[in-house]
Formats: sequence, C-alpha cells, structure tokens
Amino acid sequence: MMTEKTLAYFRKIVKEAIKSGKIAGFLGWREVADMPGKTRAFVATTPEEVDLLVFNSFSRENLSRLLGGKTFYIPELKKGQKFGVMVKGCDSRNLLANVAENKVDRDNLWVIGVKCPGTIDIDLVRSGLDSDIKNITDDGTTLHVEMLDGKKADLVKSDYYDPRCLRCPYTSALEVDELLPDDMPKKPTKNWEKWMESYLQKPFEERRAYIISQLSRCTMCFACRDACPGCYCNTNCIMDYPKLPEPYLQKGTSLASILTYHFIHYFHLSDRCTNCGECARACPESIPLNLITEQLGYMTKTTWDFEPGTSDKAKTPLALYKVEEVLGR
Amino acid sequence: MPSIEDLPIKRKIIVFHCESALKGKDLENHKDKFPEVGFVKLSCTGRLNPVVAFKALVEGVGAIIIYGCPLNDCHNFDGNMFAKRRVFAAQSVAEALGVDPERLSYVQKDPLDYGVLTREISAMKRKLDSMGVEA
Amino acid sequence: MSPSKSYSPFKPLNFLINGTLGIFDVLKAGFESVNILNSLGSITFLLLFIQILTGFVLSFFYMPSLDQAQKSIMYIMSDKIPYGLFIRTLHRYAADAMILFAAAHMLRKLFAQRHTSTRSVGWFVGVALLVFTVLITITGYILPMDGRASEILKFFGRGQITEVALLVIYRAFHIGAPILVFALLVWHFARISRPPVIPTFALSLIFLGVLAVIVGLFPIAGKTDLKAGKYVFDWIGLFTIRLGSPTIAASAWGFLIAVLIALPFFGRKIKTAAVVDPVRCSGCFTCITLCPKNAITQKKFNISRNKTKDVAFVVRKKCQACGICVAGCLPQVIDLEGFENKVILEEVKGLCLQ
Repeated sequence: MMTEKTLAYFRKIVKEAIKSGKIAGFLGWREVADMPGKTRAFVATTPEEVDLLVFNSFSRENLSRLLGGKTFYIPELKKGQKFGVMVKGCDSRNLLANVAENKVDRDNLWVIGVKCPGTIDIDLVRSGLDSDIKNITDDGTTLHVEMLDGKKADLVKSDYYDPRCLRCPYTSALEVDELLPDDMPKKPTKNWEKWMESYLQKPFEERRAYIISQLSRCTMCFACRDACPGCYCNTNCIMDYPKLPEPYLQKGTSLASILTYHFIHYFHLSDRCTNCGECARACPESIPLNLITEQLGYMTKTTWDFEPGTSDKAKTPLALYKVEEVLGR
Repeated sequence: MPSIEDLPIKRKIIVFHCESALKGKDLENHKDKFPEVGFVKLSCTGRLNPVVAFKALVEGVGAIIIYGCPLNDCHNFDGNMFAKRRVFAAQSVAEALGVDPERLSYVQKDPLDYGVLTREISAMKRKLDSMGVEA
Repeated sequence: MSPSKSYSPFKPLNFLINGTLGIFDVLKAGFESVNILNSLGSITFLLLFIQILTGFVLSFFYMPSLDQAQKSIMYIMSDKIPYGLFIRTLHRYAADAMILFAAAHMLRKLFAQRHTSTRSVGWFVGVALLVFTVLITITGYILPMDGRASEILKFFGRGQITEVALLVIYRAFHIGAPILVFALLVWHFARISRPPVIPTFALSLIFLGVLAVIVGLFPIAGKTDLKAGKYVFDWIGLFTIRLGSPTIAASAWGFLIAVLIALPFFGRKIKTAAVVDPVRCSGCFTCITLCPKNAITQKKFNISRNKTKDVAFVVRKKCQACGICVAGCLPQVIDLEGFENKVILEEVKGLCLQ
C-alpha cells in the first residue's frame, strides 16, 4: 500500500508532465467500481483522470503486455513527446524483454518504477469466506474485509500472497526513468530454487499424473496466451491463423491437442519467459500453469545462466551462439 | 474429460536427419536394417521445428531421434548447435507437460564411428520395451 | 548490468597452468575432445607462424649475395649463434610439414564435401595458397647457394645467376610472397563464420613439442650438405624439380590445378532459399541474429497506402537454404523451398498413420 505522501507526489509529477505536454498519456492501474480487490489498466490523458490512478497490493495486471506487440495502447505521439507508464518489478522485466525484441521503442516511453510490496490473490481470499466481499482494505500487515452480509473479518496478509510474488526476487523495477521512494511494507520471500529442486526430485510418474490431470481441465480458451506479455504474434499466432497451411491443432479438446497447444506456447517462451505468472492468473479453470513456467525458469537459469528481461540488450539462449560450447574449450 | 489413457504409444520411431549427416549408402543400409523406422530428411538439423517432433510424440509415435553432424562441423556453421539447444528446451517443456523427455533424443554423427545411430535406435527400442509398448 | 571485469596479475599464469593440464585431458580422452582431422588447417596456420618467426631470426644473419650467402649460412649453423642450427632446421622442417598438412587439409575437405557451393571460394583460394607455398619452398632452397641450389638452377636451365637475380628472388619470393599469402588467408578465412583458426592450446603444445623433438634429434647436415651432389634430397619440398624437364613439371602442375579448380563444379546443388511472408511478419528480427550468413535484412513493407512496417527480407543470393531461421521463427512466417513446413508435417503424419 502506497502512503498518502508518495501517492500525492506520484500524481503531482504525472499531472505536471501531462500539462506541459511531455507525455501524451499515462498507463497505470485504477480501481474498479463494484469490484473490491481488483484493479484494471487505465490510460490517463487529462490531469483530472490522473486522480484515478492508484497502486496497491491488488494491482496484479502486467501492464507491459499492453505495450508489446499484442495490444498497442500507445497513441500517435508528436515529435519529442513520450508515453508514460508505471511498472512494478515483474512488469519492468517484461518491458525490457520487449525492448530487446523490438516490440516497443524505449525512447518513446517515460517509465516510473515502484518497489512492489507483493500482490494479494483475491480468489484465495474469496475462497476462505462464506459471503462475497463488499469492501477490502489493506494496511500493510492485515486485510480488513467487509462482507455483503454485514460481517467483518481481519485476515493476516502473509497468508494470501500470490504464490508468484513469494518467490520473486525482483521487487524493485529495473532500468526505469524515475523510481518512487521505498515506503512499502516488505513481503516475505521463499527459497524458490530449493523448492524447485525438491519438486524435481519427485518421481516423473507422479509429476506427470498431477500435471496431466490438471491440464485435462483445459478448455482451450487461449486466455493464457492472450494474457501473456511474452507472446507477440498477435494476429499471426500459429494456433488460430485462419489461412495457415499446416494446422497444428485438431477441432475439439483432445488431450493431444491440449498438450500440443501448451507445448507451442511454452516452447516459444522457453528461453524468454520472465516467470510473471500472468498465465496462471488468467486461467479461468485455475490450472497451475505457473508450475510449468517455474520449471522453464529453473532450466534457463541452471543450464544457460540466463534470466530473461534483466537487460534491454540480452539475446535469448535459443538465438545466441557460444563458440566455447562448440570448440569444447 | 480427457485422461492419460488418451495418449496411446505405438511402436514407431522417427529419425529426423540432416541431409549431409546421413546419405547415400549409409541411409540405405539403415533403411534396410530398420524397416519400421521412418527417416525424414531435413536440410540441416537446425531446420527442425520441435513443435513437429512433439506433435508426432503426442499423436502416438514412440520415440524421436534427431541425428545431426558433429559439433563444429556443420555445413551451415551453427545449425546443429541451435538444434541441440532447441531439443534441450523441448525436452524440458515436455517434461513439465508430463511427456517423457527421454522419448526425444539428439545424437551426433561421429566420423570415426558409424554405429552411433544403430545403437541409439536399439536403445530406443529397448526403452519402448521397458515401457511396455506392444507392436 | 554489464559484467564486472577484474584484472588479475596471475591470469597468464592460470592460463598456462590450465593449458598445461589440458594436455593430460587431451591425452586421457584419447583425442576425443579434439578432432585432429578438423585441426589440420589450423596446424598449417600455426606452422606459417613458426616460419615467420624463424625466418625473421634468420634474416638478421643471412646475406643475399653470391659469395656471402654460403658463408652467412655457415655462420648461422656454427656455435657462434646460440640455437642457430636448431632454428634453421626448424625453418626447413616446418616448411615441409606445412606442405604436408596443407595437402592433408585439402584432402580432408575434399572427402568431407566441404569444397562445393558456398565454400567453393575458400577452396579456390586454398588452391592458390598451395601453389604459393610450394613456390616459396622451391625458391627458398636457392637462397643458400649450395649443392641443392645448383641442382634447382640446372633444372631451370641456368648454370649461374647474377647477384641481382638472387636479391630479387630473396625479396620477391621470401618477403613479398608471404605478405601475399597473408592477404589470401584473410580471404580464405572470411568465407567461414567464426573460423577455428588457431588450434587448441593443448594440441598446439603437443604438436610443437613433437616438432621440437624431431628437430633436436635430426638436425640438418652441416658441411656435407653444402658439397654438390652429396646431400639428402628433400622429396616433399622439391619433388617438382625431379619431374624431368620444366615443361613436364609445368604441365603436371597445370593439370593438377585445373582438376582442383574443376572439382567444386561437379555435384552443385540447385539454388534454393528461405522466403518471408511479409504480410504476417511481426518484425522481431530474431532471424537476423540467427542467420549464419547475414542474408536477412530489414525492409519496409506497405500495409496500406500510407502505412508501412519493418519486415525481414531474405537476400536470395546470400541465403544458403539451411533453414535455421525457419525453425527459429515463432509465427512460422518463413518457409524454406524444398523443405516446406507443410511437406514435413505431411511426411510425419504419413509415418504416424503407418
């Protein structure tokens, strides 16, 4: 939760930038009426609209998806004008990956970074309650929930963190133009690599049975693909291009089709996935897709010593060639 | 709802090979020795799209072998290097998705040892035997 | 996020120790990690460096004049110059080794079919390099003005040469030609991307060690060498002058060069290339980083009347149809003539149904 002072400072600099014509618009999060505990992406173009911008533990959506190749939120810019965007740690990594792949021109962007306090999985909160939520507030350590049937509850915040945030080492946004002061509460962290190793030591049959039983719920709605900030073939995706000469998927949801679809998605991301967890968040069947991306991230880190999205010039391992590997020196 | 039983495995092996690693008499010998193995010619192992290999795996092919030139001896300079990395990435994704990654393998030609491919095919057959795949 | 660079004074020492230990690795693995057949060319290049170093030392003492040449060579081989005999022996043996390794390198590339299509330019330059190497060796034997020199001169139909002619031979063939060889080598290497020009440290150490032992055990003969008619004939470097007459030698060499130059033209492939579909290209340019021949460039493509986008474009002349970009293109926008995505998928489908 941002303090009042930081929020006021943040809105002040954005307002000044919009008034002076330095930026054409600002992409951030705003609260949604009637949907407590949710925020959505919003482009502020006038100083009045800036007052709607917020950042809190419910700002879960990855904004860099909207600046990549898939959905392009940047309007036509005048010469010398920029487009403002607010990023947290995982967004900034995806933004850098998009810059490295020519998806977005970094010179056109004015990036404000925040130190992320970790986000709250609202579905996890909702699943533990009898009634639906009317209002929810966060004071850093406790979640104060007000329910539709008039009851009130105080929940310990550390139990409801999104699992992706617990293992994320990149709390602070990378390579930004302006970093807001660090006044957020610290989030607990988990030793992800140790957990991953213990997971991989389980027998393959056990892992296979679990992930296939989960994936068999897939309805092939492609929500994970649409939410993914690393995917960029917008209308050219080989899964649904109508004129594609070679069809990879059959009609209907056979397990072969489901696995092929997920293989195409995750093979394309195998060396570029920043492990932001958007696919698992977007999945309407709540399939633990982050289990797959975490294994990919572990593979990339251990074999190739590469973390996607940590530099705007990095080439990914599948597009990179190391001479030493060939000569055996 | 689909289940694991929907993924049948047939006793079929496909070899994707570089056109300069396996050609002429060598290819004919292998075809004569293993009539049940399918050989697919590629311009280079770097040409192989792992999606095609994975699709073949889930459609019922027992095992897939990618056979390329020795490292540092590729006609296209880096092709086998990229193939090796792509196959490794594909194996990792397949493992995460619950498909046995050992059914997909990458082997290199050895200029001093022409039995590499024969041994690999035999090893894959033994693996299919141990998995209980019937003809 | 640049990697931090730290300078360590022990770095050269580490390199030496690691390299020396590398010998044991190489020996232990039975030369498994290093394919000698692929290192023939780089060993030839190493020998060229030995020739330049030893030649540089010898050029301090050698005098290119008719009456001083023999004396200066004797002076080099005497005890007055430390290691003089060793250096001269090395210079001559390395020349022979260079011809042997160059020929082996050519045979290797010929049997591995590395001389056709896109690599043919490297092959042609290589033929020129072989001719130059043999020419430099033959003229190099004239320089000491001893028994061998008189045999070579007799072969070319001259009993005596003038002072100026010796000077010209020295300057043109022993200083000028190596410079030309270097220029040709640049061309030779430029045809390969990232060529492994230098042999591995361990392999070079082993090779140099073996060469040094041979040179130390069998130094070239001293005084007897200089008497006409009483010398060991160098069959590797000088086989040309025992071919009978200059006409026969010239025609034999001409025939050999003609055959070598004609070889790449047999069994040439039909030119195919990768093709980009500009409508669907999303402009990530991963293919540009993937291409080993730098055959892909950026190009403007008109989406509508006044809207353009950057797309990838394959330069047909440079493309050697390997297909690395085809498999690396995520939206599968690139296709390869002769190995189309559709054809491969149909083939695999047919095999699945069997």
